[in-house]
Amino acid sequence: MKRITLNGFKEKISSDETIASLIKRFDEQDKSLIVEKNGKFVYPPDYPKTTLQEGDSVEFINPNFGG
Amino acid sequence: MTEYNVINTRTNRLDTPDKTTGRAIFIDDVKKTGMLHAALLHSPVAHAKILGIDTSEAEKLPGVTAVVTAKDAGLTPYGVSPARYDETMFCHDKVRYIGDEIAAVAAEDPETAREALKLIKVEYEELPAVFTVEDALAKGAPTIHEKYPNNIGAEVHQEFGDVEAGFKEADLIKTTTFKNKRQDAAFIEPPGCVADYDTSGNLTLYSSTQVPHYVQRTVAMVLGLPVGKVRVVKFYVGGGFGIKAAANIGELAACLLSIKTGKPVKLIYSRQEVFQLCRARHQFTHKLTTGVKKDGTLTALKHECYLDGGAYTSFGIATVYYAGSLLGGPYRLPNMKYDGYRVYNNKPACGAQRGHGGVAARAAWEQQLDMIAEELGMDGIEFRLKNMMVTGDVTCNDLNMSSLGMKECLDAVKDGSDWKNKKGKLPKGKGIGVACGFFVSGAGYPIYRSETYHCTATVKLAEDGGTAVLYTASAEIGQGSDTTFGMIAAEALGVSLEHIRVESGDTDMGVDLGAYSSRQTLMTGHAVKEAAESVKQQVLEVLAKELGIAIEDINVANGLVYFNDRNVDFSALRTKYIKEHRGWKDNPEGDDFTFREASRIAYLSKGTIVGTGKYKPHDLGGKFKGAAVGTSPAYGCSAQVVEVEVDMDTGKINIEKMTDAHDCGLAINVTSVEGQMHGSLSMGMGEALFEEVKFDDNGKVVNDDFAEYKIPTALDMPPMETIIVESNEPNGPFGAKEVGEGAIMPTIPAILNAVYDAVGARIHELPLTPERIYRGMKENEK
Repeated sequence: MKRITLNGFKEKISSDETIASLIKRFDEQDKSLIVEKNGKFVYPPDYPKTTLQEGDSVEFINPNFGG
Repeated sequence: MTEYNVINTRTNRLDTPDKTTGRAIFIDDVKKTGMLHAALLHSPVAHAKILGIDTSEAEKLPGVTAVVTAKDAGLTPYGVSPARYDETMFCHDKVRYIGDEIAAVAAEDPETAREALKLIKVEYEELPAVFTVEDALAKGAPTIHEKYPNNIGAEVHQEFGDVEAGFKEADLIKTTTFKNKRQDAAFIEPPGCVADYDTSGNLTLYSSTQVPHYVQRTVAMVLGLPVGKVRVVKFYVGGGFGIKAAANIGELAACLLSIKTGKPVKLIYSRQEVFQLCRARHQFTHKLTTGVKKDGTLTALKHECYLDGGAYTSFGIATVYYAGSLLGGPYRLPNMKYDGYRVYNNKPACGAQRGHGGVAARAAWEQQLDMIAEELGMDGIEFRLKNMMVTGDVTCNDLNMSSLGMKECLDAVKDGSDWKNKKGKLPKGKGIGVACGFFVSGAGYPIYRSETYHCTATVKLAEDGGTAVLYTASAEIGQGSDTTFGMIAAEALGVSLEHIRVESGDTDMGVDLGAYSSRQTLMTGHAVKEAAESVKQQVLEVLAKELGIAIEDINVANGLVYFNDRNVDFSALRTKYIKEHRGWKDNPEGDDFTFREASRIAYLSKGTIVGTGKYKPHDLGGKFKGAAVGTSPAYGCSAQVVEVEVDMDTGKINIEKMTDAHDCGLAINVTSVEGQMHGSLSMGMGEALFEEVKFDDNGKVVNDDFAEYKIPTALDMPPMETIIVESNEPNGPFGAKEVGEGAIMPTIPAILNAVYDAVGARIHELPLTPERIYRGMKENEK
């Protein structure tokens, strides 16, 4: 198990967790979803191969929040 | 003929009497016993370390009650999106733009508060500053926020379909770049507030805001108060346009000072502070490459965009997203790639403004599409119609056009402007141009991650049955939402508008995310309709029971109860009602049973009749057509034709006529829809022709008043023809959707295309000053 920060809160994830599996596990359905890892944009094609390390910070952002 | 009794008509707004007689209360009218006045200390330099702050002399000034800095406020980060909380109430380690907030003073009068600011000593160590996207991205540029060392504070990269394959299919590929300028919202009423922390520990904030709910949450979070201890109330608001759609430093500082002093504290922005602190429209630089077949079929769009973001993020993540995503429609575009970057620098932060993110992108693309049409030998309208989406289409980036009267809008402006007799037939110096656009009708998600309802509403019947009071926390900011919701409630209940009283803009009245993203008519409208229908249902249930008939055999319209069986005997109920009103002169009589009587009978049976409604976009899935998780439940759309005359010697533009058609689904109040269309035309015209916030070499705004920053007034507007198209939006209450922002989308490109038609020069930078037009004409001659 690894500990990461997801959307500002501590989460425990399995060792082989990727961005893609994290999206699936947290049921993120927004097709416009922006994912950032440690403050950097993650390109959608890279979701399956982007693994997570202890202490990583991940943001799932729904950018269609208006204005 | 409309099938409705209240909505879909021209109705005088509920706020008209107050506003025309001077009874309307705006924030600066508010006075409280013992009220103090606050002022903010701003950084005079664009980028510097703070080495020390000494407030001792200010505190000694007679009349000063409190001085607060980051030491008092704490360092709780806040902002708009929780993913970018990059501000604190006051700067503590460094300042990032001229205007950044250092301290606040509360005093017995505004003059003393401002005098005290001069006595606060701040020691700075200046840092190198950058004021452009290019300089901020240059190698070795100073870092504005440590977390983002390359100064890119937000970025979006998306590809839908296969763009390279799309370009291979294309017979013509066109690339252009386009730049707008930072635009101030130029609302007439500057932001202001009165904070009142009472002896029971309750904080009431009266504020000129578009979003009482978000302000309530931000104030509670930053000051460490339970949400239930914070109440936010708005009075009439003199315009917002997106800039008042987030909590601001004035609100936070006034609340802190009220808590510290135990007295009400008023803080009103000066016009100079509006230009410094309020988050205006970004400057965008768009590079667009479009592929198209010989027959005019669009094949691909590649889009790169840089946003001049200023010192903080504000709404920037959404802005950079919308700048790309809103080109997904309204044309059938199978392949689209977008790379957007929002760049920090040492100017005041930018944020959301009418047509959020999409206005410059739309201007850039609609002008480019006109260029493509010309090269293909096609008429601009013909080219657009060939690619136009229709109801039921879904864009390549999954925007579901659950209703889309775009083709009807184009046909309407074509006919309304006499396009066929003018296009290509006007003398040199005169021109006509067309453009289209669309916008979301409410955001799919709240600003903070939550499963919250986007709005709730309550309708309560008076015990005499004669009046229904609608409570909503929505924000009437001059756009007419109170009237819209009153009309929706009246229609759903079956009474006239005069029997509805609307109470709004108070967080005690429920949850409503507020007036932004063109959301209220659709979203709050749903909640209001549901609440009113609940009340009606409760009344009819009692009535059916009392009369011994089925509820399905009763209906209400125009304040009267209709029975399928005309022989229903309601005389006993009428007698009961009249006997409760001995001495009254307006007791019901005649052949019809009134809703007032029915409501009183229901009250006698059940007590106070209260109905509630709620709405969030996800709830629509399954119940209404095509409303899954996504950017918005619906999209409004607009087409415009603009006619101009350009002085060929000076480049000065005179707009002669604007013809605008907008699909709002169904017009609840026809007059208000037209008002929104007029406002959009005015704001778009100002941005196109002359609005630009300018800075000196040190990052200071130089045109920070209405003497130097020009906006159009009513006297500047040309004849405007507004045509309402109604497509009956399946996800909207009674078929309604937005008009507030979609209507601004085509204005700038229609002007650009008209100017080209007049002078033969394409202008790719705003504003269209005479100098820029003149230079364009001279370049064209070469």
